[in-house]
Amino acid sequence: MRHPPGLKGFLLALALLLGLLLLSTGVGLLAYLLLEPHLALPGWTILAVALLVMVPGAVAVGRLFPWLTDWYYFLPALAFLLVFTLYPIGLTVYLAFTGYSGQRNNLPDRSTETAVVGQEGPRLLLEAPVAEALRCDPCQGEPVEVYAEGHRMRARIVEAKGAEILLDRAPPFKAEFVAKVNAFRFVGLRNFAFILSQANRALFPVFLWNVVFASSTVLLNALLGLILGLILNNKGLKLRNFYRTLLIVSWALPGVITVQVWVALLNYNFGAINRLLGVLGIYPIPWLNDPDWAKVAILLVNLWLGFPYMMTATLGALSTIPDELYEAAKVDGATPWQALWGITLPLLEKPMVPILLSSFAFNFNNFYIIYLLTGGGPAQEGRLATAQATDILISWAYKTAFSAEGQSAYGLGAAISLIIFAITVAISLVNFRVTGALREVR
Amino acid sequence: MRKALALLALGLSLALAQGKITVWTHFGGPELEWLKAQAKTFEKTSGTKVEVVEVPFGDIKQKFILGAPQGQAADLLVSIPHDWLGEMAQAGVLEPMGKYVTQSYLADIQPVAVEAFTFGGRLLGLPAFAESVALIYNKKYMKEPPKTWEEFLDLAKKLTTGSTFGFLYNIGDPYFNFGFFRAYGADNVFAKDAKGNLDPSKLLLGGEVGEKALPFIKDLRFRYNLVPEGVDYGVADGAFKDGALAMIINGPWALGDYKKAKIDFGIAPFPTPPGAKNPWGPFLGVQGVVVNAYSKNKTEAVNFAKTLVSGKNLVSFNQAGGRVPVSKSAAKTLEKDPVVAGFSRVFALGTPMPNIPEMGKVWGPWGNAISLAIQKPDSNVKKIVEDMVAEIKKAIGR
Repeated sequence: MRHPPGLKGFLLALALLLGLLLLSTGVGLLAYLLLEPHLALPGWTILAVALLVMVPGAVAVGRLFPWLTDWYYFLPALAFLLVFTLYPIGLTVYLAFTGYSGQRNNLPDRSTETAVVGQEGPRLLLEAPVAEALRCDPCQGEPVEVYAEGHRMRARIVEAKGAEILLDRAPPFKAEFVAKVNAFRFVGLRNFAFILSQANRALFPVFLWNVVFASSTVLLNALLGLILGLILNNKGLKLRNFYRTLLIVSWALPGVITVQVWVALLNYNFGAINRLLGVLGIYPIPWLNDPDWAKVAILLVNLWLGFPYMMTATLGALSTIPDELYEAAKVDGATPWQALWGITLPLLEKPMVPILLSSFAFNFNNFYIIYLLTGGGPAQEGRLATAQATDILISWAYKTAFSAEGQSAYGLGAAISLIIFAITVAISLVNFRVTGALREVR
Repeated sequence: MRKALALLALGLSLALAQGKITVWTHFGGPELEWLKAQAKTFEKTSGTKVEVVEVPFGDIKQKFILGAPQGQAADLLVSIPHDWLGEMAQAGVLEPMGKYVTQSYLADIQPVAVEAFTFGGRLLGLPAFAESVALIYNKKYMKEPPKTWEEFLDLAKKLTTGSTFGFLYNIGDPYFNFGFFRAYGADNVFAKDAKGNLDPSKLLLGGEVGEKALPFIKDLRFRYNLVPEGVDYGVADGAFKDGALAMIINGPWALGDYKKAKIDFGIAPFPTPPGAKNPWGPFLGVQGVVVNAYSKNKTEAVNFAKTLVSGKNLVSFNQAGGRVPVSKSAAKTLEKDPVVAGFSRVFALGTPMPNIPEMGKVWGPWGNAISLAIQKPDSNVKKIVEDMVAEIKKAIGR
């Protein structure tokens, strides 16, 4: 059987596979929702039912479109892509427009639990005045959960008066308690407005430092890596394997540990580095306590962590340059300096540019060095507590979502990650444009 | 067939639910042993199996909030600090305990601990032990702790030499600094409304309070030259353990290490700072046991929780780890214990840390303001305080 040609065939196959996946999951979910009230089913029954539908479904679809069977190899990958990539992205976009947080999570607020003392259809009499007991004002329209041992039901308050509430439906059991549900709502662009309204104190300075941090890290690391790589590549150098091993140590050790050691080394009064400087007669440097010096400290530690990678990459790229070129240059009477500028550096450019670009992208979101070395600090005047002197975008987002806003402001965090996403896309586009132009010139 | 299936499922779920409760704990060492022993005794008397699982302190809250509604969390937590209470209650995972406890039980608990575990007018957990920071001094350097600020300053300055320190503490952390804010006029972080609940719209840290407390903290570094740059919790704690530090602000959690390091220490309140109208008084933290609102075995979980916090068991708990119980009867039994006696005096000066979720939006800007103030000698305290208040208000109003 022939595969329909071109893009049309691809799209058709994709649509069929997606349809199969969504249909079987839908049936699984439906079966679970229908049966769950009667049977205590574990969550994986959804998966089991979905599989029960999907396997015969796949056979049936395969009969109708025999060419599709080859595509079935793609099915697991597609399923994982949907679950672990597309779903979280979709959820992030959705949450960015809601006020979802640890407290506003659509679950009943237990600190409003109030006993029901009388029940007549949808009308419940509570043990205390509604507005006070359920902490709502006005209470009309508030979602609540009514529950008793083994039963629970969601409803909405239609009317509240004194200690009495009228629900939009009657609980089919004897209600014991009622509690307000902390529903999260669609808030439109309010999360973005909140971020942008403080942009001068967070977004802009953080973005600026983020770009400076990523580009200077790449430049410094590449420069030192290049110089060391060129030196180590010299075959006349004795013990060069020994040096190479020694220089790679900082890369081989886990950064999570070494960065913390650096924190201790850089301590203002008690760190080894300032003591050493003191012996040399230099005043102690506030490495981690001054907004500007902290930036220097970050760059230096990141240099220590990152140059071996660049050095190794340089050595690898150097080994691809044939020796004949240098021999020919020597015959022509070129000095070593001329050979470096005329042969080595131009030939290094092509393999190194992608490495530099990926290194920039990695450092742009290099959360752990910031988090472990300075925690974003020290504090800087005129900035938010979440956006201190060395915070980059990603650490600012982390602090906002998980530490500043009462621990779990998922909606706000999602909005920040969308902004970071937009910035990253823009920078990548610029990168591609620039490097693409370079290639055309060559 | 359907009936048989239903019965099978019911039987399975019952077998899973009945006769077993799970406990998450952040205890370690002798306190964990104590908990395991309690669990074994409870198994014998009630026939319910108790499984004790260790979970790191920092993970408990998030894991519990996310896991409990899915049926994937412990039946009870031993223990949580009371300032998590508001957030966890609003997230819907805590079982209100009011309906399970008796008046006589409540009467045996110190009122401040009951207040700490009450949120929105409901008791949401059973308080077990209390903690706060205090001035801990090394008896090698002084027989009696300083009573006044002048005595303190003289002593601290005299003992700050090339090889020893007079006074150090975790100067950048608001938790360790609250005592000074309280001394300069803040009863708590928020004022109370007419009903006695904390009102998040009334922040007390700003204005005159902040403009007096921050300069004092700054002076500890730049004017009195006591706490130099680079001092954090680790440095201060390490120096005290080495015996090189005479006085530190720290809490009961550190005492185990100090005992191990054979430091002969005493506990006292910090003297009233200069020009303050109130005495110094720290945040009071209460830790207690809470029950999962989604637990399948609530009755047994509540029973176990009640056994754990009984006066008798809190005494044995104190013997295991040295924590200070909130039960009046237990405190009476332990009257002679110097740690319990010392901290009891300090507790009397303190105020419970707010347990409302809005407190989560205060820590960050507050710590930021303190770090800014102590960054350089000429920092503009008035502006720092204004910025802090504005940032907190904006976050709370969101």
